[in-house]
Amino acid sequence: MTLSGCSAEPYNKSFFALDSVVSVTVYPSDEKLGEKVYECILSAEECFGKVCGDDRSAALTSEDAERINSVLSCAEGLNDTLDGRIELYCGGLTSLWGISGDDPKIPDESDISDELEKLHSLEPFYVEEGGSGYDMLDLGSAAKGYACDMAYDMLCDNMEKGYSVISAGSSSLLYGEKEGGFSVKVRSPDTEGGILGSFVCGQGFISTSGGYERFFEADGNVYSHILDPETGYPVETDLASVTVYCPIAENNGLRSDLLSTMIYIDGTAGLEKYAEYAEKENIGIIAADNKGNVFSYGIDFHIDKESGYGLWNES
Amino acid sequence: MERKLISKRDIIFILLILVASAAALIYGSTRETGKNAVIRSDGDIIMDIPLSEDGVYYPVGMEYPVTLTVSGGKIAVTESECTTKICVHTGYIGAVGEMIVCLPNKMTVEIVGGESEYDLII
Repeated sequence: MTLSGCSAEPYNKSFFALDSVVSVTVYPSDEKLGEKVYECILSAEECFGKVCGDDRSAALTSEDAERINSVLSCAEGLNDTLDGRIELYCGGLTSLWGISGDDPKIPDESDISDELEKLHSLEPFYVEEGGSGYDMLDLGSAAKGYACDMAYDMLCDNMEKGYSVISAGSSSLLYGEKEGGFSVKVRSPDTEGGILGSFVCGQGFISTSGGYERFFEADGNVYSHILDPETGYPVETDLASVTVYCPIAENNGLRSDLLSTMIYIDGTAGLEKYAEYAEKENIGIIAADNKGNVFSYGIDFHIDKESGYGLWNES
Repeated sequence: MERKLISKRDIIFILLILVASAAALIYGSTRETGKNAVIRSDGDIIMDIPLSEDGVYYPVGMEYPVTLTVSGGKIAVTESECTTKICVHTGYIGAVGEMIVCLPNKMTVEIVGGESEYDLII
């Protein structure tokens, strides 16, 4: 028997939500709080399911509309500030490619140009309470990050001491104070898996984008799940994976999610402008290209010697 | 009687020792891992596979049949009839806390055994 409270096991729970597996760790163990996180993630899923899930006929509540609109305005703001190319109104293209569904395929060229025409003539809009059927929205690059923001707000109101780790697949929240900081391992984008490297950070939000897990093959080509709104085809980028760390601040889970996709789309050519922005905003970036280079900004990233990657710059 | 420096018998003896120590090394290094892969289907544990021995496994009851391969202390979904193949694309995992997810099957493969070095693996 141990008397030390430190050796107690944390609370752990994993479940399917947000098109991924969400795992929740709470230390010291607190089942009630863990259940609250679970409910919080499910409510995020319910909200986003109404615009880009199986639940599109359901009407938006005022809370749903508020959440979705804050996602839309955050994306617009980032695009304006950074001359970025994240497109949340490309739901038509996404469903044409069947990318988020079970049966992705290469669409007819004429269908792609039809969708592109629709997309380019579309005025950005906000959703309304009671509205439904927003098929043109694709919030896949934002939902998990936003869910982490919702979890953060909930933990702020309910957790006084200890820490919590919430991982929703490509976006995560590290909450609270942990002795020595949180240690984060970044997987290699290579097909053999393995480790790219690791870093230690304080509480914050972390999101990753890459084309190395979600893709499909057809006619001998590989098609990533991230579409280029200009061409209507999967994005062609020289980056293999992008990880973004944002410190705790309002909407920063969402911001980390959107930014990782934006940086991925722009490739190495855009890294300089994002690095500048990251420095101003205390954001960290780790980007691995497809030639074996890793670019690290604002993070003390320890590259794994066996990863086959080399650090391009020291930050 | 003339005696060679090393006799045939000596050579055989040395070889035997070498083989035995190599075997012990290999045995030791694979035993050392002590890690398992826990396979869950919709949250329920359906298999618990030690990573100490290479092998191929076919979990039953999957909507889309999958093949799991254990090699060198790591595990991967090497084949899957599921639609997205994200599970196959994840590749090999072997560190405690790492996970492979097959959403169409609601299946997860998670490495357990000892404490994870990391709070988060992304």
